[in-house]
Amino acid sequence: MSESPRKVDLALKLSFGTYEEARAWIGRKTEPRLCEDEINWPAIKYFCSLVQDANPNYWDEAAARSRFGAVVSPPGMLMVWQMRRRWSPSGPVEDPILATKVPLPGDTIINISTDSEFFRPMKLSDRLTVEEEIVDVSAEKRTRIGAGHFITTLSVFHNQDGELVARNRNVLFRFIAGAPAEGARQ
Amino acid sequence: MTALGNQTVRCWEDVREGDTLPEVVMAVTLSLCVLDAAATRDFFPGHHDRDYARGQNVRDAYLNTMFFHGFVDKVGGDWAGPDAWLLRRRLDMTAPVCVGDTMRTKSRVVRHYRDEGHGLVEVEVQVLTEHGLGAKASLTYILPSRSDVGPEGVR
Repeated sequence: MSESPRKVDLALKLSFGTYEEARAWIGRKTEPRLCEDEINWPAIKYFCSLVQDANPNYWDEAAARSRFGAVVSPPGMLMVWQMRRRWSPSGPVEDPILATKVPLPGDTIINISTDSEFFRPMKLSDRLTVEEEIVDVSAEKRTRIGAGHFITTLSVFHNQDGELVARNRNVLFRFIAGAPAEGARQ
Repeated sequence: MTALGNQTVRCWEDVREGDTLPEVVMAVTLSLCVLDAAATRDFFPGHHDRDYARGQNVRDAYLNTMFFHGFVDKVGGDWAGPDAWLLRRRLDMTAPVCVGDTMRTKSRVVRHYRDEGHGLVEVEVQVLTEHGLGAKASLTYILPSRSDVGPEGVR
């Protein structure tokens, strides 16, 4: 692993290395990490205003209570609850995305696909814990935006009672822009 | 269907394979991308920094994964109603959806079946722009049955 020479990397803090080094990451898991914030209504309403979702389970306390006992998070916010603020009083916060730590040659990333399953509602004041695992790293593929590797990660979410809430499989493309061919997002 | 809140409850028995969902149209502006970054806490530069996006061989700043999660869930959920439970969502992002594009959805019921006593439907949502397919999602919902829905709604 070494520092990247490219300016474009600065925001990402990617780890660099060879495909062989990356393969050794398959099966690696993070320790369970408590998400920064509880499921909270202001964040839910903010997100719903982005995608213009009027579902009463997100906006109307009485309607949500009649079904779930509380206002619930849209399933689309699953990954949002996992995100970290970029700074805290103890200093800058490292990007928590496990896939960016896999050593590979690519100097940028783009997300490709997700497969998410939802088992229990995320209710106001719930606090999620997430564990991530590197499931696969593909051999080099050439695509229309450049050549690189597909990294598959699995995130498993539990609530404060230890109940399984959701599972999310994510495929991210780690590539060098240029070197065009077919496929992957463009 | 029963009126409840500001949305209607859709029962499994009232759905057929091939049913289509209403089209949703949304224009992608830089403001929308900035709102997206803020509402999803995702400050990856490709979503708000147009020069960075172009350096990635992408036309302009583009919407993120969490936007598409929320957007296709809205398209499916507006139709499925507040008593539907989203069991599974598969999302494939085929091409970046960028500032200047207009998204139009095309959605239909591709499967209507029962499993473990539940009435399920699978809905396919395509997010199309002037440049073709941007993203495609498959949404699997549990829908309530007519027998669950009284005049007051489910339960």
